[in-house]
Amino acid sequence: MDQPITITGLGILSPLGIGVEETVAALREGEPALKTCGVQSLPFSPLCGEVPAFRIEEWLAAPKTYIDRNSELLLAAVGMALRHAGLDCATRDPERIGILAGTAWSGLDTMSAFFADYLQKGPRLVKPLLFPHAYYNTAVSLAAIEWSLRGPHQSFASGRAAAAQALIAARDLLADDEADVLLAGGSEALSTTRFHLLSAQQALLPEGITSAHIFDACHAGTIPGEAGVVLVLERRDHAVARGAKPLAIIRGGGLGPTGAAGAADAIRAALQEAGIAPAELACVCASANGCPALDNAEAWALRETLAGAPVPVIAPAALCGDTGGVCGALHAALAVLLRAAGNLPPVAGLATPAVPGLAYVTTPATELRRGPILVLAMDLDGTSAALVLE
Amino acid sequence: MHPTLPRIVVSGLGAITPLGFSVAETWQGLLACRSAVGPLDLFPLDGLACAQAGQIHGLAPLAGSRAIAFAMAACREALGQAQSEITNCELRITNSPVALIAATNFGAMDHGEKALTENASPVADAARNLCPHAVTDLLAATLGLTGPRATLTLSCAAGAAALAHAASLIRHNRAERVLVVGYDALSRFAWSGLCALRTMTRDRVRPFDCHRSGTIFSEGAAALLLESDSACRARGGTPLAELLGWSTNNNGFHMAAPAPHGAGTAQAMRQALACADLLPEAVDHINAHGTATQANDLAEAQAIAAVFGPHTPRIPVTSIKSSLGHMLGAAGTIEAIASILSLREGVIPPTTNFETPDPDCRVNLVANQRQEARLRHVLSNSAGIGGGNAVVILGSA
Repeated sequence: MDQPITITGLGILSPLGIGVEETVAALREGEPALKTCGVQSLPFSPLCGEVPAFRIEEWLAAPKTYIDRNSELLLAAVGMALRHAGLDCATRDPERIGILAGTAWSGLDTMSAFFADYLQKGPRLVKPLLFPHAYYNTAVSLAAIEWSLRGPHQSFASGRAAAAQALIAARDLLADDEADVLLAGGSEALSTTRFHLLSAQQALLPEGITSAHIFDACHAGTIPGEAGVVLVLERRDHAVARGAKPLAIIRGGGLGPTGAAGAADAIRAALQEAGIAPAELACVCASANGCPALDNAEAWALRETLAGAPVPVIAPAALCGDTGGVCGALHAALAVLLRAAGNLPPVAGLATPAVPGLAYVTTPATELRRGPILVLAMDLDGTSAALVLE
Repeated sequence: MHPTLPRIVVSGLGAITPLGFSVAETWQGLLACRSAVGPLDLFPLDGLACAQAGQIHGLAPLAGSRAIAFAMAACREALGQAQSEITNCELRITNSPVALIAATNFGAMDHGEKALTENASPVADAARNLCPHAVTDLLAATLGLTGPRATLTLSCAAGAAALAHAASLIRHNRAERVLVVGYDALSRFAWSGLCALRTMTRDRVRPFDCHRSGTIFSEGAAALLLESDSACRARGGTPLAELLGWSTNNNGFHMAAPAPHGAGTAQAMRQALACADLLPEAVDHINAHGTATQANDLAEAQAIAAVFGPHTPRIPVTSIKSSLGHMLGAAGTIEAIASILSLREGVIPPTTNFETPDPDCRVNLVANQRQEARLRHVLSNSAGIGGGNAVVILGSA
C-alpha cells in the first residue's frame, strides 16, 4: 500500500463516557462502567453497559421527527468524529466522502413498535413513519443524508464483526482511491426488545452475578452494552495536506470464519498485512464477552497465533458490556486512546483463566508498552475480524 | 483496469424466483414476457390495498424461514453450476475456502417477526433470526463454505452492493472465491410496511411508462459465485462473465426520495465506469433499477441521460421488474444474472406492460418484446430506501 491509511478523528459514545476525554479518563481508572437496567418484561434487573445521557440535538443540523436510539448513537458519533477530525463536510467534495457502518441488531425497538401496531390494530394501521427506521441500514443512511456523505456507502449487519468489517472495507476503498475520507464504525443500542430476545436465548447473565468473568473458568454469560463509534479514515497524504494530525495508522486487517480456527485466520492475515511479528504487539484488545464458547475460541486463537509471545490481553467488554455489532469499532477507538491513557484496564472478574497461557491483564495500572495493538471482533455466528493499529 | 489487478469472473449462477425454481426457468419466463405477479395469500391482508405480489409457492421453510429456504436453494444452484464443470459430486469447489456474502432487506423476518410479538415469550430460534447474520452463518455452515462471511443490508441496493464488496475482497486478496446471495421473503412485517410506503401499484408494473403508478414487491433469491480469474482457471472452471466495475454511494438527500435529476445514481454509474476503465459509449445495454414509481424512474432516466449523453438513444434499457416484480434484497443479484445471460445469449429480456412513452423518461426501452443484440458490456443499476445506490458493470468472459 503506497500511502498508509490513517485515523484522524474519533467519535465515541460508550458506557465509559461521551467523547475522547471522558473515555481516556475512564480507561485510566480501569473500572467497569456497568449498572443494573430495569426492564419491564424481565423478572429481574439485568446488568448492562449504558451510554450516559447525551444531547443528540448538539450534533444535528435540524431537529428530526423520529430517531431511535441506535440511529442517535451513530449520528452523534459521526458528528463528534467529524468535529474531532476538524473536517467540515460542507467545504469538501461530498462525492469523495462516504460512510460504512455496522450493527448486529439495528433499531430493534423501532421494529418492535412498528409490529406492535400490526398486531394490535391490523396491517392497515401501522405507522408509515416508523417503517423506514426499521431497516438495518437506517442509521448509516441517515448519517449520509445528514452530512451529505455521497461517496462509498455500505451497511454491514455481520453480527459482532460488523463494524470491524466496515473498517477493513473502508481501508481497502481508500487504498483504491475510491474516496478521500471515509467514516467507518457502527452503533448498537440497548433496548427492551434486545433484552427480551437475549433472555429468550438464555444469553443474559443470571440474576445475582455481578461480573461476566470474561476469560475466567467460571465465565457467566454476557452483559449487554451499547455504543456509537465512528473513526475518520484517510490516506496519510490527504490528512497531511489538509493539516490534520493522524492519531494512528491501520496497518493491517484480516477476516476469517467462526471458531478458534477462523479467528486465528483473521489474526494471521492482519499480522501478515501489517508486516509484524506477534512479539512486536503492545497488547491485544480482545472481543471476549463472557460467553464460554466465544471466550474460549478467541483465547485458543490467540494462543495459537501469538505462539508464546507475552502480549498483554485486555477485554473491553469487561468495562462496557457486550456492544454487539459495534464492538470492533469500539475496540479500535479504545486502542487509539489507550496510548493517551497510558495504562491497560484489567479484565475485571478474571481470576482463573479457562484457557491458560495468555498474558491476561488482571492488575490495575499495567503500563502500555510501545508497539502496535491487535484489535479483535469475533462472532460465534460466523465471522471474525482483526485489525492492527499503530 | 490496472494490469496488475486480478480479473474477477462469475462462474456460477443460481436463482429461485416467482418465475421459476432455477436460473433457466426464470430466464425463460423473462424472455416469454410471463408475469410473476399474482394474488398474495401468505397471510391475511385484512383489507390492505396491496393484494398482488410476486409470491413463491411450493417451497418449504428452512429453519423456520422461507427466506432461508430461498437463499439456500439459490446458493446450491450457483455452487452446483460452478462445480459441475469438474465433477458432479459434493458441493465443494476446491479445498480453498469460499467466502459468503449474504445481502438482504429483512433477513429471516418471516420467522423473526414471531419474536417481536409483545407479551409473548419469543422462541429462541425466532429471536436468533432477527439478527440477519444468523442466516449467513447457517447458509455457510450448511454449504461447507469456510471462508469469511459478511451480511450486507443496503436495502434494495444490497444485492449489487454485495457484489461490489465481494469484488473488493478478491481484489485485496481477502478471498479468492466469494459466493454472493441476495434474498428476501415476504412477511407480515415487511408487507405492511412496504404497503404503508405507498410505492405499490394496484395496476401492473410499468417501468418508464407515462402512466406508471408504482412497483409490486416479490420474493426469492439469486446467487453468483465470484472468483479471481486465476483461481477459476486453476480449478478448470469456466468463467461465465467478468465483473469489470462496481460502485456504491448514497444520494445524501432523503430516506425515501431520489436526489433531484438522479444525481446520486449518475455518480454511482460514473464511479463504476471509472472502476471498469470504460467510457460511457462502451456500454451496450443497461439493466435498469426501473421500479416503475414516478419519481424513481424519472430520476434514473435523467441519470442515464446525464452519464451517457448523446449515446443514450443507442443503449437499450430494460427493467425485468416489469415481469418479476421487485425482489428487494435479491433485486441486484437477479438483475446481474439477467445481465450476464444477456451478454452470453445476445438477447435482452423485455420491459413488459409498456404502453405509453413518458416524454420525461427518454430511454431506449426494450418494450414488450425481447431484443437480439451483440453485447460486450452491460451496466446494472440498483437503489434502495435510505438513498443508497450500487452499480455493477459486467463484460463477456
